Amino acid sequence: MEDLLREVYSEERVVPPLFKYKAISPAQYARIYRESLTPEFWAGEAAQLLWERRWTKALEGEPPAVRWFPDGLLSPYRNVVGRHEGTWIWEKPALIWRGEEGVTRVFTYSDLDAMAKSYSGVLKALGVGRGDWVVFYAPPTPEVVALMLAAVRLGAPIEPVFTGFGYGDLAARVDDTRPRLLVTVDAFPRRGRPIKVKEAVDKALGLAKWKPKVLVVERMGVDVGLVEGRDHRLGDVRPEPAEEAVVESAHPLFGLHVGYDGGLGLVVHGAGGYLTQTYATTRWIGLRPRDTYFCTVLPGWITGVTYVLFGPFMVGSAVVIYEGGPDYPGWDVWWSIMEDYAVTVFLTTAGALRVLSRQDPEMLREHNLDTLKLILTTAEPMEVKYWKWAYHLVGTGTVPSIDSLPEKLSGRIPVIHMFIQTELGTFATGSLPNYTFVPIAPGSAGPPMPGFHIDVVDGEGNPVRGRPGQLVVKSPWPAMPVQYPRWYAERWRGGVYYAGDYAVMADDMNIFPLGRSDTVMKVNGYRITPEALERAAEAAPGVKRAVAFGVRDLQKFETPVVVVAGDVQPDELRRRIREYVGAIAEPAKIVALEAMPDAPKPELRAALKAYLWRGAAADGPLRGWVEEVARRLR
Amino acid sequence: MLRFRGVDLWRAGGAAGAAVRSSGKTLCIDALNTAGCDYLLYTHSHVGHFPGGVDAFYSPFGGTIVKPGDVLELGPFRVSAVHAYNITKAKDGRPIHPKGFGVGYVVEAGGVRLYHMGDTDLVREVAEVRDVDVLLAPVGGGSVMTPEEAADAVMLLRPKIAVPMHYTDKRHYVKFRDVAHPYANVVALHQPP
Repeated sequence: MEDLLREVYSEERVVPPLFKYKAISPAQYARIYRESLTPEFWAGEAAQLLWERRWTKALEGEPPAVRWFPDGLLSPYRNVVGRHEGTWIWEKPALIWRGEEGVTRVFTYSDLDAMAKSYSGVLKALGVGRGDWVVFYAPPTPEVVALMLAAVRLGAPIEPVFTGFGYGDLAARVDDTRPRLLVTVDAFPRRGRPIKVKEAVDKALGLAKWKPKVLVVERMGVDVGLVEGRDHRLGDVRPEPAEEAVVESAHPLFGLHVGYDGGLGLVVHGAGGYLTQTYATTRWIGLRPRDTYFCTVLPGWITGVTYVLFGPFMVGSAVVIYEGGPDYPGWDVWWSIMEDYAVTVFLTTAGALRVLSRQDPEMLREHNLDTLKLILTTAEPMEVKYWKWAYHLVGTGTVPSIDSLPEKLSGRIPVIHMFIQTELGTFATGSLPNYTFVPIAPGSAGPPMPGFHIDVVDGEGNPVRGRPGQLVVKSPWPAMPVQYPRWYAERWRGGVYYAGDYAVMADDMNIFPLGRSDTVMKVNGYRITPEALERAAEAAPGVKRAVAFGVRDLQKFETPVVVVAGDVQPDELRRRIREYVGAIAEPAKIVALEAMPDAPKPELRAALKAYLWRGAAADGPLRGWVEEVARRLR
Repeated sequence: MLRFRGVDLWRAGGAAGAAVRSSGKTLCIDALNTAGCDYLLYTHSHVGHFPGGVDAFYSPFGGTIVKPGDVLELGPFRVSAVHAYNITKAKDGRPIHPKGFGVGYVVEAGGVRLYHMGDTDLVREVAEVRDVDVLLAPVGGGSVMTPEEAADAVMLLRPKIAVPMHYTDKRHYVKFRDVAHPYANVVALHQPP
């Protein structure tokens, strides 16, 4: 951990030239922050939503079982899309979608509304009503985005599942969520070749005990088999009249399965509290209606749900979605998108910056990114050197602003790294361009945002500064899950939520995350439960027992390793895990041993992580085994 | 290619060539590559806009003659001609595109009003065009609007989408984009490979 800390920690504080006159002093920040740590602060933000019946009470209950604005009624759809009707935003672009083949499709807010209204009739015709889950296993094409909004309009909670997860993972989610409908596409292009995602759906539903209907959105026109009575093509369903739902504040809006030590758990966010927090943080991070905002994180991850599907539409920005990967047709495709669509705000992951910084610099120099005013990053810890690369090489531009010096790559616009977690619902830390903008600490995720009572504490729960501790939240936040697994509830101890991440908090409250404190893996910023890999591995012939854990990876931050006892073919095992869990979870290495200690898996994972990350030797009988695994990994 | 509501739009070669497809028909303006075009329109006769050797077309200089104010019904397309001329771009004391020499076209199809401005300055007749969804603006200076003037046209007409054309120097695109983008979503459409 000391090595990582050296890479991410910085005493430097930077005020970008473009934000020279926006920065506030630490004392101003401290005062605003201190005064924000009350339910009344969030009540003020909730007043920005459109309520059909205004709530009388901001918060009730004790964590984790709290309810925000409990007696309020609202239409989530009206708060996301409908709020713009009758304003100038209604006829401006809401969505700019670029397909991998290069086609650009543009939809105004009124276009999106018309699609969502029509599609809510389609969902209704397929039996979806208020409270029925709709799972999406599809890339966010415009039709898929409109279908998600259509479900929101019906009061039907959604779960977008990343298509990089395999059929086994999808089946587990379907059995847990029990959706009325699963939405997919026939196929989508990846580096020019069709990925037949419908085939993965068929395999998943062959495995799952729960059998939802399937709605197929045509994306590539490839031939897919339809199961009679189960599968329906989008164009074949005749819409029924469908009313816009008005729901209670705690009504489930969406959910995501996240990885815990013990497995996948469904975390569900309620409409009123979540949308309050989303609308507030989206404005605070700097989005405005005239912004053209390109987010490379797609729905399927909390960042992609909150800051693609909900927040930017609530604000009225134009959202740019690119269907393809960052390397196709070339490693400059993201720069090209920003240049071609005059992107003003760019949101990506620290992992993506790592990869992009290693490409030919000429690919970046060939593109003019002068319209950018803000670079936002998230997911995993950010090394200082990659922050500097983004600040100087991506963000300086060619035209001076205030006192920036393009020829010296002085930096010009903020690069703001922020901490997010599915359970938190939104970004919760970061210097805020539209609110509390404090000098940026490179490598940090910034200080806590107003309203979030965040601290870093030691083993006894005492605040620590300047050295690693546990990241905690000490009071409820509006997007607190309304449904959750026991693993989340167990993270609440004494009224304090332990996020499961190590971090260092500096004296000026800048937070430097250091990765997970449990054995959940953070691969390219995505939480992967070791249990999923172990389950896939143990289903393979010859494998008696498997333990998965993460090792440091300079590219992905962390990468999975699987230790197995038994007679196995590593390549075959890797293939099984890739197909069953997903490509994102493919192990970097399989360590095959003849035997494994007879200790519980959490103990084995923790011992391996402690040794490999912190050099802490295991006690007793595990010691030799841990050292042997470490030796095999070298 | 840009797809917006019921139309597909792509560059069709030359300085300002554009193809618009709706309801299975393709209308081309200033196209040098005329393959696949059902209807051919030209804004003026300059090289880079009119390829010559074209049989049936609409224009202010040949084929079926069009003049500002004319309205054409071409399959799914309703086309109105608008003045396009210079007032500040001159050669030897004369406007490069004098009034009456060329036109721009407002094309309505598929629920979209698309305005191909032709080679023009920001003149009074341009300012009178209303409810533009997609603006195809000539950018570059010399014989058409400078990037700043084209951005002024965007500010005035407030299209939903602005597509710059005619420039040969990328710096002109960048200047136009940087000034115009707060007023419309700028989309750079590249020539097909």
